[in-house]
Amino acid sequence: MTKLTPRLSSRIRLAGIMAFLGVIGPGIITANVDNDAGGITTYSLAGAQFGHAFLWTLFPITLLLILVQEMSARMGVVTGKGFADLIREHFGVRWTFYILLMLLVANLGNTLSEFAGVAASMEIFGFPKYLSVPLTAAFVWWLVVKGSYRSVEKVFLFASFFYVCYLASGFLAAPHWAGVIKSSLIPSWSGKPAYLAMFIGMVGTTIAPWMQFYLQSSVVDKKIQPKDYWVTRWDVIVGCFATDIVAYFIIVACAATIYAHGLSINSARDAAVALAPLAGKWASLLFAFGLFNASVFSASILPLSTAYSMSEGMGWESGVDHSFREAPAFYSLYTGLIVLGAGLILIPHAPLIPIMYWSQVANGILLPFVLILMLVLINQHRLMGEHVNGPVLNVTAWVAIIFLVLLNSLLLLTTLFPSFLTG
Amino acid sequence: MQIFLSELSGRGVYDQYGKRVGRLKDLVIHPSGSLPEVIGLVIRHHPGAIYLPFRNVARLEPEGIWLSLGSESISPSPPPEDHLLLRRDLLDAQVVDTHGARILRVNDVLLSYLAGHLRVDGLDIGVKGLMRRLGWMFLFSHLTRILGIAVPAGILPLDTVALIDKGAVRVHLSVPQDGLVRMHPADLADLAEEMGRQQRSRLYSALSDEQLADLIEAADSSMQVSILHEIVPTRAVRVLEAMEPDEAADLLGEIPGVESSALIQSMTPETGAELQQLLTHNENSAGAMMTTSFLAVNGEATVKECLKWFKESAPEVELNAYFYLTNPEGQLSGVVSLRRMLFAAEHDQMTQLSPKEIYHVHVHTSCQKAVEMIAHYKLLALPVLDAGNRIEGVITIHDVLAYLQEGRTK
Repeated sequence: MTKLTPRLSSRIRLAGIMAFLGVIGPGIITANVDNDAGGITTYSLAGAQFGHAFLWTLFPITLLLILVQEMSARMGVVTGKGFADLIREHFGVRWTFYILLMLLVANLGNTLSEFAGVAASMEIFGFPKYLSVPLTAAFVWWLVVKGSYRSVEKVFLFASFFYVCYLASGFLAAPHWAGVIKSSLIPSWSGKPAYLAMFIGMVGTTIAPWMQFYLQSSVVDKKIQPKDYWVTRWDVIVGCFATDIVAYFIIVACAATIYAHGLSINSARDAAVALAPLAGKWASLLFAFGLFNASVFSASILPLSTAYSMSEGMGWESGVDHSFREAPAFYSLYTGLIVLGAGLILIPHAPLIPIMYWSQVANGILLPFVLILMLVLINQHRLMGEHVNGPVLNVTAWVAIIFLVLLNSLLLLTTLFPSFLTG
Repeated sequence: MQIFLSELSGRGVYDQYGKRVGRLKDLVIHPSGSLPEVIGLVIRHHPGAIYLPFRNVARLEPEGIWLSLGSESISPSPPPEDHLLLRRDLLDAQVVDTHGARILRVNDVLLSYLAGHLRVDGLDIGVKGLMRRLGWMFLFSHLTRILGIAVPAGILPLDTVALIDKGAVRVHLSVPQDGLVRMHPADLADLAEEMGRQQRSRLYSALSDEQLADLIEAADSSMQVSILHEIVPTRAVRVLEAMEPDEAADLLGEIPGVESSALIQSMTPETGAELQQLLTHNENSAGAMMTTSFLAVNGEATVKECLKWFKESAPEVELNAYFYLTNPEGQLSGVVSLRRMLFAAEHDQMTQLSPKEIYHVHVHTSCQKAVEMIAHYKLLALPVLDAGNRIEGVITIHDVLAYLQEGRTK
């Protein structure tokens, strides 16, 4: 028998590339969902109210985001288990239940704000919300329940490209580039309460509790092998940079127009409308479309991720591969979140403000727990083996997390007591 | 008396004079046996936990545990190694319900105390167990009574459960592990998909190469690739050799070329060459879809000879429905179904039994075309020929089902 010479057929070569592509996705998708309706609103307001003052903060924020996300992804790859699973196994049922309950409340509010984003952006295009919101909700539900997660993921990766809208919008706004670059490189600081509140809001909207659950679950779902982890790490890093580049251009667009003309806005919708006379119709429409895309994208992910995590932690069957009869809790949670999230937008005089308010509070209470539990888990040798945090990373992570927890407590205090910072 | 672990743990433990020793921290059971008995208790105590054999328990009640010895004769000692601790290892852990083929989480453990022996009766995987653990049982049971909702007990008997461990616990319940291994490969494949990495690798090592090959064949393609990556290369080679050649070739086609050629080179020359051959076929051709295990006999042979050969050598092929006949040049000359042979005269020549028209495809024929022929002529299998009309393999009805299912999920 002669030695077999490897004959590469077209089939094998393609498989190698597919194996690489098979690993990327979770990091990019999670980071992009992070730029949801709430995120875009925060960045628009930052640009509109403070001009370029917040551009530099995006660099440390990106690093923080990478730090936190990398640990989630690593935990998913090494243990092959979701975050809720690990919490349940290491901290017991009580911790799990109350953390997941908080997550449910927080994500209901987040879902609500995504549908509000859908309504607001489609109104700019002339579609009434009574049409756009139910249609979007039905589409989102159908996409996930009737498609397989792998096909859905492809749709999401494709949707990530639409964030380019904001880059285009930023250029159309014709900013003063020299000023932009200068403010990006030289940090500025102000002790004014409004500035502090915006800073906290920026960090708060970028690092949210749901991401830790979603990223880890999707890494687990893809069964990424430790040897392919380096691809996932790049997936996370590229995703985090992409998401903050988008944030950067949102700030630039709003600073060059709304801030420069001294106008005042209250929402992302206002920002899109205000762009029309200042930067042209296209800038405005691209901005609005970006908001629509981001809202639909996040409205698909948040309810799904919440239902997954809840079922996972409580030990209920989960996943769209099961029928309703097999996984009633999963489907009820998923459908319930979409119906509530979309439905509340359509009910006149629904208590939207209190719901968003309490969801913000739930987010705020949840984040410290999520980050600290994550750090405790990732340092468990019997769980992570050789993949525990190194000493340098660990010190950095603890410092970063203490910083985040402090900022977050401030955010929580300003939410609960609006006059806390203004005195 | 039946009692739940959650009701018992944290209860006071008292010595024979009624003096409090500490709180019950955990219960230790012996790792083997179908009805595990509690053989000891772990008591939370300052400065260190105390392990006591269960025979020192005089009385066990929902309110507490009374020992038969004085606290002066008790000293801190760790529980024996390699034993299962109910709270530490079982509570909140994932288990496999081998009857329902699903993975569940243990909310509570049901114990029974009878004639001085405490045994594990079953695992609580229901909503009630969850409520009991969360401390909402009182509210929950009142609510369900008022609303008239019947909540199932949600207790799984231990012998239908397989433990897949939480964390890196070293102990196993020996009997239930067998239950896992005896499950249908297709069910196991579904379960493996839901398990954590460590649980999966434990499952793979509990299976024989043949069982793992069956499991891989039943899994979907992305899962197949990860299984192949999660076992050591030497085992991967053995498992691939144990798989149906067409399945093995499909799997090798999913991984990078460098890896697949390395695996193929470690195989026995025959299997390696066969898989290499299968791999060169275009993905959408009959050649890539076919299996290379089939029954082929000389067309001149008699029915008796063929049946004798079949019974004695019991060839392992995917489908036993047809005997393919070849002429001296090795070309396909006929096909006879097993059923036809059973009703034929013993000395009939196989060629005489074959129909004139032999449905077949060539290795380059598209999958679509092959599937259409099988459906149209209601065949169980379709022979695949090379350019010289020699039989290379067959496409069975199972291959068709797998092909259609894959097309639906993609």
